[in-house]
Amino acid sequence: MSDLSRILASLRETRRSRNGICDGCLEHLPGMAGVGLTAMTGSSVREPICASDPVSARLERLQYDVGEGPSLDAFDGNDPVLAGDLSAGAFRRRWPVFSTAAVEIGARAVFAFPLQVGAVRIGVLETYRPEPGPLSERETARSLLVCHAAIVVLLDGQMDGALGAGVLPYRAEVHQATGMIVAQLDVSAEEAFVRLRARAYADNRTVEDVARDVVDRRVRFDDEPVV
Amino acid sequence: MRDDRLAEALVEFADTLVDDFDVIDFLHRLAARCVELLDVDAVGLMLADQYGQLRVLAASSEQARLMDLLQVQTDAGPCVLCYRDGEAVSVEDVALLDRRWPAMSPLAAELGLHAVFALPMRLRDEVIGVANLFRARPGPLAEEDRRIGQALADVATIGLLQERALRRRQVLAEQLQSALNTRVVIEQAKGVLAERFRLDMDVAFRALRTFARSRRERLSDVAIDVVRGTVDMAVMHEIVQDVNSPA
Repeated sequence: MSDLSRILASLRETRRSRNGICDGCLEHLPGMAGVGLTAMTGSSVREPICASDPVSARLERLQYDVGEGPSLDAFDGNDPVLAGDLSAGAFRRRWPVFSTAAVEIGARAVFAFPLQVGAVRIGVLETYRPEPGPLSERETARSLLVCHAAIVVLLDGQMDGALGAGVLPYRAEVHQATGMIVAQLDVSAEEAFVRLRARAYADNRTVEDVARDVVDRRVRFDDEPVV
Repeated sequence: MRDDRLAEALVEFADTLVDDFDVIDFLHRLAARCVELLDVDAVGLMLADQYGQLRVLAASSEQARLMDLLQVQTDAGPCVLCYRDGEAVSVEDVALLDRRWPAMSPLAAELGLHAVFALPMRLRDEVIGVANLFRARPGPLAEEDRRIGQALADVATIGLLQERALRRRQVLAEQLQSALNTRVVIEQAKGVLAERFRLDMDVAFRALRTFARSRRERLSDVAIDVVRGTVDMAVMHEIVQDVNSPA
């Protein structure tokens, strides 16, 4: 069993537990004190999904309240934001309110990773440690893998688990089809991706099969006649 | 003549410390240069993730079938051997692959590609990926081509490692993750353009690149703008017409 499938298995197992898949994520992130997951589709549209512990929950809430912090930056910048020491000058200047409050509640180091499939943005995974210190190369790689698994589980969660096994990385056609649906319906990439997967689910086909039909122009998502 | 172009290419790929560096664009240019300088017809480039799984990042043409051919090879094929052993692998006639890599040979045959050469992207002991060269004509790769191909792969490897180490202080996993995500955004952007202007995927890709170049923007930024609908579609339309018109 690969690392990814082991993580996927834990996440699926912990899905219905009190802290949701955050417990499963934490299991695979040794050295981290807690994990929080927030769904985001825009900087102002956020919803906490789960947290492994009260500190993680407060960290998410805090960023929402003060409008600044690593999660928001990771989401906006599409890159991980690794704050190894929130007491350090650079981070205090970057997030004056958040950094002080986070240290007070017991999070000295915070690491935020965007959950995304190309331009489709799903949310952010955030971990913390009470002690300062950078994330090692190994820990970074681990975190990225856990993010990958979280994306898979969150995506099939929207379809009530019906999509089955780990589907990422999708083949190129799936992403191309998503783009084509963006243009056909004039919707966001997030919505196009959901529509594509919903169509596959409704038709009891794989996402890749439907995507191939879209790319080959056998299936359209709008009712307009082809011009 | 070729020496000049080779020298130019070597300088080009050593220079990764530029503000607007973009891994995918860099690898795409490398693939294009290989086709130009070597006696080969198509090139695909793959980098390995932290688990040793090869991931396709760029190709000389974004034609869907070529990408498929590269994709099936990431699990089994000459490039996996090449990555594992850090040595060049040469398949002079793809028909001979039938038994060993059954998924690969029909796709290669369909594309009219009959010889495959995999060159390691390697710095000392570290192999970071594979350059896959395809040629329509079966037979060996000329020794000079092999050396030039390897030189390009070596320089590109050093460029990627130095960019990772110096400019962004990113670890391998992060650089690759970000490149893979860019790869996905590019596919999505190709889809938008393909639908909007009724293009095939390769033309859509060329339009994206041309647009990025003419504006001196990063390919990944242009791709995001296309998907988010914030790109100037009138300008894009003109570029599409240029790219699409027969030379």
